[in-house]
Amino acid sequence: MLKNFLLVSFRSIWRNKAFSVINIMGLVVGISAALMIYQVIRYENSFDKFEKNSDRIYRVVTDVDFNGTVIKNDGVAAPVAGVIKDRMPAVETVAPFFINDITRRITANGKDFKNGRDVVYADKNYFDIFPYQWLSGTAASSLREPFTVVLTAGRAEKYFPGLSPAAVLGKEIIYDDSIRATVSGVVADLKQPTDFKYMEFISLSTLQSSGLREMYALDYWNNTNAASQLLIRLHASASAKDVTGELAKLRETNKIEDQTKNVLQLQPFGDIHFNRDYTAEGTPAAVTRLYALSLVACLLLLLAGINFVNLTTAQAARRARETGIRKSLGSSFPQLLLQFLSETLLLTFLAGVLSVLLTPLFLVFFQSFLPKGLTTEMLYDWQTALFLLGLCLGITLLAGIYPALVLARFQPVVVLKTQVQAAGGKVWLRKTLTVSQFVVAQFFIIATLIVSKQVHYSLSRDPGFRKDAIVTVRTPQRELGPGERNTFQEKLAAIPEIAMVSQGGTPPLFGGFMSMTFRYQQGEKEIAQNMELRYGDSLYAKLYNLKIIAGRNIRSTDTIAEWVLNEKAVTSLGFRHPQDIIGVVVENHPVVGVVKDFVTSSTRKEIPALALSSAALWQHRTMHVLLRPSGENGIVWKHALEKMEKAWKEVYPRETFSYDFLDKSIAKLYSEEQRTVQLLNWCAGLAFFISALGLLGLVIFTTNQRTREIGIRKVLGATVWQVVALLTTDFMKLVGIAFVLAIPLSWWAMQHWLSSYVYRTSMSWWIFAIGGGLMALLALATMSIKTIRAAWSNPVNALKSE
Amino acid sequence: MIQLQKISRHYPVGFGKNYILKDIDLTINEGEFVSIMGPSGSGKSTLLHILGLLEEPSEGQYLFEGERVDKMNEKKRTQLHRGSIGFVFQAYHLIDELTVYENIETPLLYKNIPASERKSRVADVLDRFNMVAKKDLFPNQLSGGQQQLVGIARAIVGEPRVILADEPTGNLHSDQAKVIMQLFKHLNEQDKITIIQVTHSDLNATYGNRVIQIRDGHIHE
Ligand SMILES: Nc1ncnc2c1ncn2[C@@H]1O[C@H](COP(=O)(O)OP(=O)(O)OP(=O)(O)O)[C@@H](O)[C@H]1O
Ligand SMILES: [Mg+2]
Repeated sequence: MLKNFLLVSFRSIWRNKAFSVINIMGLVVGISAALMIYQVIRYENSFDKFEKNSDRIYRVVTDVDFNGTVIKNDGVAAPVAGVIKDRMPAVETVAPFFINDITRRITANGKDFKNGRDVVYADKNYFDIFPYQWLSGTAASSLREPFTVVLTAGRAEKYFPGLSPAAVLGKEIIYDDSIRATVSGVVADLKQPTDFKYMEFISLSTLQSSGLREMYALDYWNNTNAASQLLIRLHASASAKDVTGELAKLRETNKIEDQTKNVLQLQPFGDIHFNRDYTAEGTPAAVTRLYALSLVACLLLLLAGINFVNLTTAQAARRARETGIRKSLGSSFPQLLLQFLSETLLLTFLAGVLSVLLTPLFLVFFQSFLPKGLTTEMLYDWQTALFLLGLCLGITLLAGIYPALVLARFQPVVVLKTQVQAAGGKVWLRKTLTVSQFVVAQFFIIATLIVSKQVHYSLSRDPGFRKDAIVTVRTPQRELGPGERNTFQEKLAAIPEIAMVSQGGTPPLFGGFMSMTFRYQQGEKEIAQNMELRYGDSLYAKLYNLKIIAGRNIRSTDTIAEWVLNEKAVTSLGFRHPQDIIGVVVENHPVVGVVKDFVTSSTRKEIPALALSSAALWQHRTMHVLLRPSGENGIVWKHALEKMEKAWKEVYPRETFSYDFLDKSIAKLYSEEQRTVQLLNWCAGLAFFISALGLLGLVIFTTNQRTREIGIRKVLGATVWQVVALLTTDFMKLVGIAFVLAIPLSWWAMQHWLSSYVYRTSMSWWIFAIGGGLMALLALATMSIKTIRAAWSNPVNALKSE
Repeated sequence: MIQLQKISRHYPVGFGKNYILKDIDLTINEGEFVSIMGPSGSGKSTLLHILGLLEEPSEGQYLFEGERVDKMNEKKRTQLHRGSIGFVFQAYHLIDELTVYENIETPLLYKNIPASERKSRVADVLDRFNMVAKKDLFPNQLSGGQQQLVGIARAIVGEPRVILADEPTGNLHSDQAKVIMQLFKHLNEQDKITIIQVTHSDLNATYGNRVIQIRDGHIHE
């Protein structure tokens, strides 16, 4: 029986090639999308699952109280580890470690390497949490002594190529020319995905016995730094809530000398990969993005399912006869239902197999949207097979049940006796489904347009400062004094292609924020105002074309001596006119000038109150270089950059030179939005593609049905265009309805999206007009594939064949 | 075996009804060979469809083996189609997606007959109808007459208790028609299968033992 079913299914799929191809193409798109997103979700979920008892591991994190504003920090004050170890028996393992973000240069085997933020200070407890395999040395002893270091096999190979793990022992690694550590162990690299991918472990005791003790603030309760991390594992009987409570109580009772208002929390280990509140370390997965992607996959599947329902019920008349005959031969209703469902299943399976074959290609193609470590390996394991099987069955049931019911319900007499064409299912249902397909496609088209418009707006708005032809160069962090910087600046200024060089902190506009609370006594009340800070020498304002509207520009000083505030800062400190604040002392220094407001971060944030100052000693670590216009007097920027590198090598012979163009850095702020545009582009394209396929199918069907009518009309004198119009108007009406429905939907959704931007573009009517026009045009073009040919065909053929 | 009591079938025309069959009383016993005759459009096919449970009468009662058909559920009807009734359609109605062989095999599949027996039974009827060479062709590759033969083969292969045949030889050469009629006669006499056929040919009607004429919605014997 099943063989008979499958045989008929296969032949009927084969016989209706056009419709089958349409159905399968739509399903392949949907299933591939689902498969890909399933892989992504699985991959993201596989992070840090290999540690023993990982459900009992927590990271101690801090809600840092910042004058009442709570900022989540994934680090802890360094003394916390000691308190937990000494006073909390509920904690089984305490593994503090410090990310080495200070070292710039690592020297091994006579060669210099850069610090990739993968060097940590840790002790044996770290290896109690993470089950490394020891190739040489032991967990217990290797990190006991100060000035020892354990490497992963990959790192050992990088530093000491060709040496065995045992041979690496005893070799020396020098950090920043000052800390000399001896290799005391080698561990195998972790194969499983983890957010803790450190490669170099210097013994924790090194911190105690060197000047680093101060730098890492080992003794300060008020210094919460993301570099100071703390992992703990609780005893099986302990609860995280109790431990948190105990920590709070210890401070309440003044048992520990923590004077801050910070709150310590336990972050479950499994939460680390998904929590974006703590952005300092790792690359957490954006859960909302995963949801959005899953939604897209579901939508694409839905669209493909609709195609199936529409095309199958539209041509039900042909299959109805078979139902009638089979019933007269003794087939029961469930048997027929099963038969038609098995046909759907076969179709979805074909699509599923094609998807599995195509997904590796898609994975490469969509690489930039996918997490880095994702491989095709997982595509061929049993979980994926099971997922695919479930997916196919699910699609079959959801998309197949209605058509199968329609087909199996036909009564013999209706279809066998009369010659009347039996229509399958409800026509309004098909129309509704088609309309909803196009609502989805239309929504994505409009959304793409609006997001693109916002990105364009963000990039093209006037930031209030010069941003073109500016290159920034960061000088080495651990430079001894400003002397070298000054030399470098002089050398740069001497390059003919360079117009101006300023020493300063960050450019006016960058991705992060740097702020400080300004307190100001305004009569009775004290104003505490969060102030964004920018540092630069006297040339900074000039180079960036910042407009001083009152007072004067800042003078170059070694430490903060005076302020230039922006207009926002002036009003927020309670002054009406810029003039009024000149000479007023704020935070110990006089205000000497007021600068016109300029943009300091992306369009998501409002322009903040800002103070500009000069502090060459600690803050001017970046060279801001204004290039002369390229092309003028034969100036080529490439030469300027080469000369800059040469100057760099003269001043910093052992450091690598790198630079950023400011306009590119600014564009990078919107890379997330750019990705969203790309993704929406794809969604719009695919949603339209599937819907258009369905439309094409329906047009093919009606056109074939009306061949005779077309012939007669042509004989009676209808033109080609009249015939095309006859065949397309009905469908264009559906596209029109979809457009009307999509307008409020996309308006509402995009309004919501735009609301996260302080500075946003308007949703002009013409965006919707273009979206609708585009859709109409594409729909017409799709249908013309069939209609024009039908309209051109010789009427005699059509009539003779009847 | 078959009992019709005051069976009527009508279609709505304008505001009234157009009766195709009116107050038909008819009893057909097991083992009879009945021929239904009448002019075109007189309702012969309609009557046969009603007898074959493919169509509901508008009025009246139909008892199949003493059981009221209108009281039967879907399952019982399916059961009858599987076991008791073989139907030959005027318009052949073969399944386009199946070959000759598979078309004939289908009713046996629904009867859950084991594969080996299916094979021998299908081979048997193919042989009997001289269609062995055509067994792998699809219906659209056959002539009208050949399709009709397949339709008949399909009706008898399941060894039903009643064969309802709507002009089974309408498209056949008279020699072939004769073979079919003799086959029917044989099935009727040897296997005691009840046969009800619609025919336009007086000659064919002579193979049966009873003739029913339909005219103006009524039957005359
Ligand atoms: N759906 C319908 N609506 C209205 N009238 C119908 C319908 N179906 C059949 N009829 C009418 O019922 C009548 C009987 O049709 P039927 O097919 O039973 O005739 P027949 O005796 O088998 O004719 P033939 O010898 O040509 O096969 C015809 O007049 C036909 O027009
Ligand atoms: Mg007839």
